[in-house]
Amino acid sequence: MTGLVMVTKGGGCGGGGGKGGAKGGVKSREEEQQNQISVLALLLAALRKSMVSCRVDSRDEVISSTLQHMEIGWPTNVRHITHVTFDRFNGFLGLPVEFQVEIPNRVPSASANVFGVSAESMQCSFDPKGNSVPTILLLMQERLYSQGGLKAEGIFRINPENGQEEHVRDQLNKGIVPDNIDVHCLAGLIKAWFRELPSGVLDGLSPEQVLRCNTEEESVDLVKQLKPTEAALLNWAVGLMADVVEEEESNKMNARNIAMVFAPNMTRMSDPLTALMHAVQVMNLLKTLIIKTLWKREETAMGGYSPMSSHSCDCPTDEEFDSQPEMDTSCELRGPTSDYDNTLYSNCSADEDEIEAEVESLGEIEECFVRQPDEHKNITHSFFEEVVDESQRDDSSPRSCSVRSIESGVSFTDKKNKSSALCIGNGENIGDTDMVDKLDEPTRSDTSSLSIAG
Amino acid sequence: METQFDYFFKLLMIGDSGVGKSSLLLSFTAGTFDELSPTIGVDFKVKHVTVGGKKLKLAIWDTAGQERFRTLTSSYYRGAQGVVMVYDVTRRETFTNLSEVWAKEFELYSTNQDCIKMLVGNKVDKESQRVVTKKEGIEFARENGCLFIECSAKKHVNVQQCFDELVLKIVDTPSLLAEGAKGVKKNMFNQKTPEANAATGACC
Repeated sequence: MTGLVMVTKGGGCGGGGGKGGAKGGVKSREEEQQNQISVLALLLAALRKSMVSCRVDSRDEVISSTLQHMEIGWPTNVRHITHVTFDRFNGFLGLPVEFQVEIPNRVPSASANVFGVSAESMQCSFDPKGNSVPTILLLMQERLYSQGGLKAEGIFRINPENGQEEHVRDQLNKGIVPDNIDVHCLAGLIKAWFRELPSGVLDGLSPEQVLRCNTEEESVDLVKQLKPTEAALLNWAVGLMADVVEEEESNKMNARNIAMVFAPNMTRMSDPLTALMHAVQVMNLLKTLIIKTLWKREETAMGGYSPMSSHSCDCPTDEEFDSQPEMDTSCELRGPTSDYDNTLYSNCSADEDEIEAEVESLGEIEECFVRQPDEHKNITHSFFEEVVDESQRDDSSPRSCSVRSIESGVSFTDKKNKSSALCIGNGENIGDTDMVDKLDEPTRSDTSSLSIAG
Repeated sequence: METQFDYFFKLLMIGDSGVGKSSLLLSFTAGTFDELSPTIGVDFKVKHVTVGGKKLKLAIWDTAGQERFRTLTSSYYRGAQGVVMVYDVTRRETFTNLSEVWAKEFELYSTNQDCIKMLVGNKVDKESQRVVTKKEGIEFARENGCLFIECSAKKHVNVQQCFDELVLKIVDTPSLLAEGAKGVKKNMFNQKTPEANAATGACC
């Protein structure tokens, strides 16, 4: 958007005189003058409105009274003072000082706020994968990466300092990305950005749909139902999470961990308890997508397939990969006959209580597989043995070290949903007692860190 | 398998994400340490302890530190007799957030005037990375009327003492003790019903 600011010396109309006396860039042809007069009149009216506080009142009155009872003459002493441009990032460029008082210095985006505003109404840019996401997210991501945030232990899990977050948030709302922000603050703000959207990125999917979605193929199909804006945001976020998981050795965030801290920010529900239940399903969905992304990256890096095939969803490799009959949702370990795909998928649907204990170890397995996709046959066998060992150990260790007095509960399981909700509802410790008793699940302390077995 | 107990108390663990709330709890209840995943929502464990010849049943609620779940926490505070406020001695922000966020939430939502607060500085095994001094912890505890202890869930240092002191203090507070006893009555009543059924079943 560009515009010309024309200012006439001496307040504009010189009392009907000055015919043909216009200088400096005003052509003398009659028709053009007529046109310019009307344009000028409009401009003057507009300026008069905007300049009320800049100009002395008396002068303003002179102009208006002149306009009222005098025939408008030709402009005199017209000069081209400056050329003004406007863009959404830098605001007005080249604006004379006297006008700047009225206009904010920087106009960061279409909206004044960065948080709590839908992505549609924000200034967007393209990320390297071609997702159109709000520029502010890309700025924060770039800063996070350049400050080594990906290697920071517990990135996206750790809370930023409250005071700093508020400060940075204010600055971002003004369109400034301050220097030297703590990486956890950046990560926290990225999560906050998603959390505070008017509607969650995954709100377009019903909880039932997410619940039913167990395999990678189903997950990919499901997120195709999202609107373009949300799909782009999700795709960007999954890429970000995959970047985090690639640095797992430093930051200790595996696919499950990062998915778990992002999941509750991706949906928006009025009832926090429902949101809690839903968060687990969303977590599984995100984890599946992250693993798929990592797997694709690995595939590309291995060079086993052309970049074209690894990027295309319809490539034969993927189809073969996706449509394995062993792709099972029941999470049952089938012993050494199960192949790689089954292993990979089996933990995508950890929706049964019993399975949760194994998820951690399976999580590790899938990491290994992602790293060494070509050796999967051999590894499968050895890992299955390990899984069995793991689960045996998981089951036996609490027994051996306990003590009947140690009990632990899984607080929100599907079956017991009602009792726990009730308990929180009435909130008396009497109620808690009941719940504790109902939920006492002997010797399962290892699973209790996964508090909702959705 | 029925464990008899004389008092029932609800304890709550709060603090920033990743300070080691779940680890502390795991260390206390199972004596083990593991690299745990972030908690979703709330998780709880039950442990029986004996204090002065009285059998106590502790239900310890372990809350999620993730910001998204803070809206949920108001319901956790209700009816708690003790609250464990955890920070990480190697991360100052977890300490400042305790005063700026968590202590305020507690004041706002706690239904119990006498509820005992325990301030816990975790991860003292990382002594070289420590940024919050013990003195600062003591100072904070004094200002806010909390008990204070520094511990390490990883090395199992002071974990037992942490909960012991908290429980002792609860038992020493008459109003809390009364609440704990009230919970038991209801509980006993509930337990008797199935027992009676089982007894008749055995008879026939």
